[in-house]
Amino acid sequence: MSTPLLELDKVQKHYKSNRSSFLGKPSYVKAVNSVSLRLFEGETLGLVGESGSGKSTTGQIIAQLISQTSGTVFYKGSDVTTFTNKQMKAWRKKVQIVFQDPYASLNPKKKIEWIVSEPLVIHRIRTKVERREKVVEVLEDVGLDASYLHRYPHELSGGQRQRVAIATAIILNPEFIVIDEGVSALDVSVQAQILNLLKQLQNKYKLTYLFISHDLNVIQYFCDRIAVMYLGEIVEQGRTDLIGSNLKHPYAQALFSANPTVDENKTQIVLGGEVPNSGTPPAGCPFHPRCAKAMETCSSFKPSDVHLNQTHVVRCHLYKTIEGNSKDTIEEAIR
Amino acid sequence: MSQPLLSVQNLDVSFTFQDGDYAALKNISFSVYPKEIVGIVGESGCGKSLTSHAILGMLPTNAMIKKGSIQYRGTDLVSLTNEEWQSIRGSAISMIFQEPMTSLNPLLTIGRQISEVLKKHTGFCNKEIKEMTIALMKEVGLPRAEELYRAYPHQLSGGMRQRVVIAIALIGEADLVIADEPTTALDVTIQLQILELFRKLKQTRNTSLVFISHDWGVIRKVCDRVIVMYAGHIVEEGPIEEILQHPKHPYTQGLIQSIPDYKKRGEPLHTIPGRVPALRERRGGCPFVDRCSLRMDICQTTYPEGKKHGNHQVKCHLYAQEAINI
Repeated sequence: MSTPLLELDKVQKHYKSNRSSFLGKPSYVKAVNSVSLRLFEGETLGLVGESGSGKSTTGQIIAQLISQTSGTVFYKGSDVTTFTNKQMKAWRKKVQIVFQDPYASLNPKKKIEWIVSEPLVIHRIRTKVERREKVVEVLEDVGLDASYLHRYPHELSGGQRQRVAIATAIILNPEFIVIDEGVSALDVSVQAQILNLLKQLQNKYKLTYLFISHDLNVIQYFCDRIAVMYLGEIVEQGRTDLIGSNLKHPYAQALFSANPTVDENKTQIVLGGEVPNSGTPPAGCPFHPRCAKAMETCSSFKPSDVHLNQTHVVRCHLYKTIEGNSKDTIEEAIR
Repeated sequence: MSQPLLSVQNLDVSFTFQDGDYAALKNISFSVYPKEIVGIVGESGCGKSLTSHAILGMLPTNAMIKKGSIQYRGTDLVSLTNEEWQSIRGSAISMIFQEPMTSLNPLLTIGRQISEVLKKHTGFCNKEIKEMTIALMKEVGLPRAEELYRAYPHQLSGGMRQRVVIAIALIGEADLVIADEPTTALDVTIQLQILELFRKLKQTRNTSLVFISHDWGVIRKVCDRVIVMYAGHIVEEGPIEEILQHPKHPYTQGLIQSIPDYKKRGEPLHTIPGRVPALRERRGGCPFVDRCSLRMDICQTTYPEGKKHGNHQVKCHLYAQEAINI
């Protein structure tokens, strides 16, 4: 396999909690716990999970908007933390992010031209006249036109604002875009327009996406591979076609079964309880208090990643015996 | 069929602005029968929430009912005074809002907020009220009810808060509950727990529910019947499976086709061009005409009449030749 465009290796992000324990030892909220991910050129990886599972934190670490507590982020094989300031600034052009709420992410006091051209200004690219040409070009790429240059964000609808946010993200010709709940605030007919636009742009500019969403229908439609997060850990990752009957982790199975759809009748797994506080995660496997298949070992030992095949990784004790066996037995076990 | 619990007839609601009146709801008619869950779907700005607020007499101050009636068990709610409304709200019709954090008072304990309706509407003593409150908290699936009775909203998770809001809606034994996007702010596994709870309550308490959502999957999970709204009009109404399988109105068809789905991978999603017209942009004719791919000349000028196909109703000129007028 080729070198991944971006790779996270055992990345952790811990936040110091205000509340310290009895003896004054500081306690930590483990927002992201030992996350390893690879993103290959031109693909869309979907990151799913419930609120507080660490999806957005992971996305922000990949874009290096926040730095990790430990672990490494690689870009085409080189460690981004070793970059010099100059290298970092060049790298930032290649990695962009689109946020959920287009009402909050656009500066309400600035006109669209200013908003979309800001990245060019920051990176001192081109002259003013050339910048305007480039802005018009990307506005047309996202389905708007020059008539929007002098408007303010409040004059636009939610879908149009999200198009502006996307225009701002692509104006520097990035290689990689983190889309953090980029279509979640939109109505379904507008959401479809934006998803189509993102696909077109991906084909046109060979973009790689990390697509963060809690909407399982969107993830299944849009992504090539998925990674399911629970309490700061990736419990399962693999190709999107696993969804259906080939998911292995009990949480991933329950999550996708709970998604109400319009055309199928499936058995839904109702999980008891709620996601625990990430400040006080359960010992052992973080999912074991809600897991129907929990065993004794789950409450005391953290499961490690089990590679079921080249692309399919699951972090669960149920499949532990499979690891290290020959490929045939693995495939048998999957069946 | 039995008598409807709630019957809305030809309801028009308008907003008054400095430059005139603008109709936000036009000719809304529907009924809710006992033990029935009716869904209302549509995009933002289509009038779903406004309809529910009209039923509860909670319209914004610059909105008013221009004509029509809202009958609850034979009483017309439109002509009620403020005091009469208060005796209906909470004890006969109650409401569940979308965001459980903002609909609970952060300064009052859970127990006090749930029992408030009983204190206001019944003559039970405090001890009885506490017992009834704790019993209901258990019924809606709140763990450690005695302990949570004294807890404050910030100590609860999103799903538990929504259960508290549901308990508040149920404590007055209301037989009609209006739920406005009650699971939109919740995660999918918690959403499933809450949807299962609604179905259970329909069985055990005979509660009727008006369920407002923009999510077809959620609507399909809980509702018997569904009403599709567009730009202040009801455009289609019928049993949920019938509408999902055979939508008639081009708007409903467009909405259902634009739902992303695994089977549609690799092909572009269907989209509805344009957006819902704002209040000031609405004119005569069919409200959907500007976005409709099947529009005809008549759609620009004349508002389509309702046509009935069994229990499936649609307002669209495409079906003018078919079936019976309503």
